[in-house]
Amino acid sequence: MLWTLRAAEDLKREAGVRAGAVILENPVKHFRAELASVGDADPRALIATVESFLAHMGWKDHQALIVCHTDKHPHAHVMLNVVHPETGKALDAGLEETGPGVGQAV
Amino acid sequence: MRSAEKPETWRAFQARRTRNRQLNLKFTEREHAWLGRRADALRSVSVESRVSQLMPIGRVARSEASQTHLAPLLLASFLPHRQQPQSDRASAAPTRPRRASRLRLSWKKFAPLYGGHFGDGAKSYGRRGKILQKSRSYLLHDPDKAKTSERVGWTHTLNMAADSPSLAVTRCCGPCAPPRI
Repeated sequence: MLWTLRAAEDLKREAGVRAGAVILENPVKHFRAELASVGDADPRALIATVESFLAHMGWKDHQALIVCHTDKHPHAHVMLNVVHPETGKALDAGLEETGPGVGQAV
Repeated sequence: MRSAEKPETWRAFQARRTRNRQLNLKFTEREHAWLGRRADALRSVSVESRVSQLMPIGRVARSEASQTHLAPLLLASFLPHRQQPQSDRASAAPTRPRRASRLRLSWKKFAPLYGGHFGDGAKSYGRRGKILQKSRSYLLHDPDKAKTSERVGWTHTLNMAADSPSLAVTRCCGPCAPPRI
């Protein structure tokens, strides 16, 4: 993730995207995912849920790290790289504020 | 024309230099083809004789400025790489008024003013690496709350070449771009 962030300008150059002048304040986006059934820590179900949520938000091509915590109740933390690994562009967070069902999709 | 009593100001010098450069550029473009044709025939002749043969070109100069720049321009036309004469500009340039002081900012304060476009931008990304490492340490190891074996059940990576979470955060660059180490 860090090297993708550092190589953002090079990735833009290779992809033919105009280099922007915006400095990312938060290079990663973090959110938490839980399943409706409490106590269910099935990795496949959680990963499929996170992938469907990323696809819904249009972030499925971004790099993500999913870490499941089982100390209290099973839940997954998702650390999403804001920089696209192929184009070097920052993710579009417009749907995050205006899209329906945000906060309930996971 | 410049008067001898009154010194030339920096703004007037810049205007005169810009005007002379434009004149020389126009003159060079017009005569450079002719100079190129003559250069092959004059290779075996000395430089002085070349200049003496080429000096009639100066008669078509329309201003004093173009005449003063004509001789070094002709000599420069014989060089393999076309370049502008530097001697006259340096001698004729008055002392440029310098600024009182220039702020010297560190990279952390200086980079945001220009959007962080400094080469690969490695210097302006130093703090972001710390953010990533702190996030990684919170997600993977948080000894204040629980042991790592009890806290972390499993990890998974998406769109990354490495499946190791620690490696994915700090090193991995993705499947398309190789890591620059």
